[in-house]
Amino acid sequence: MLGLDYFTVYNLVQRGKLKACRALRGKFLITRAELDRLLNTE
Amino acid sequence: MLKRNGEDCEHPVPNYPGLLTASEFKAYNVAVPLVAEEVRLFNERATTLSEIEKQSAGTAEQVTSQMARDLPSLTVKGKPESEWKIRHVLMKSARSEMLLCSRDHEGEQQFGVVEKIDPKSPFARVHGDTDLQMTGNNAFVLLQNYVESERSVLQLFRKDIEATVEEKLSEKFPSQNHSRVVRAISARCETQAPVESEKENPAKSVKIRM
Repeated sequence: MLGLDYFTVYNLVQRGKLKACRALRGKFLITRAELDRLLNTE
Repeated sequence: MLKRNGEDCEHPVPNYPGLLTASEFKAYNVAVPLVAEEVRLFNERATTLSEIEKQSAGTAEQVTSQMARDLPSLTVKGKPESEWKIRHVLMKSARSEMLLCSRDHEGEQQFGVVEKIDPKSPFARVHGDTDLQMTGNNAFVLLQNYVESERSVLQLFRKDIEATVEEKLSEKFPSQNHSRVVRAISARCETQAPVESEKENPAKSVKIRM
């Protein structure tokens, strides 16, 4: 959806530019709303 | 022979110091192909980072002593926009390039790590196709910080691989404890970065003045 490399997405998460939460087993989840926010800002 | 849950611990697997029981080994063999691509990507990235680290002194010396006048340049969107000369390609993938760049800033040479992403991607259409990740006045220190930062990103990726294994195995073998299998799969990620280096706080841009 973002058209980015795996590591670019993890990098955005690490730098706090993309908000992710951890699911029960520790897997990263990025909400649809957060993706929409990222693609609609600026 | 050591037993666990009535089963002999007799199955060695790559990079993992313990031995798995027959049940664990079965789960392990189910999990390996499920995350094979992610593990490959992890190891490829870890190897590239080690190479960057090994060559960082030479790369820094080269970019510090070389004139940047005729090199290709790029513009980083932001406030204000900045123009950077591309000095060295740190790594390249299908959708992104990590570049060591430099510019003259307030009478000094400033270095920066810039990620150039696919300009056609939805992200680039909104945010631009360049992302200045960190800056510094010492190229060697900047490269060291870059490698450290990328290694902590790798640890996030590794945690996700472990979570995926745990999730898939819980679906296929709901009554088993998969903690040792998860650790054994994680051991296939041959990182040189210590796991405890994972940082919860997002990395900020680094500005070093020497």
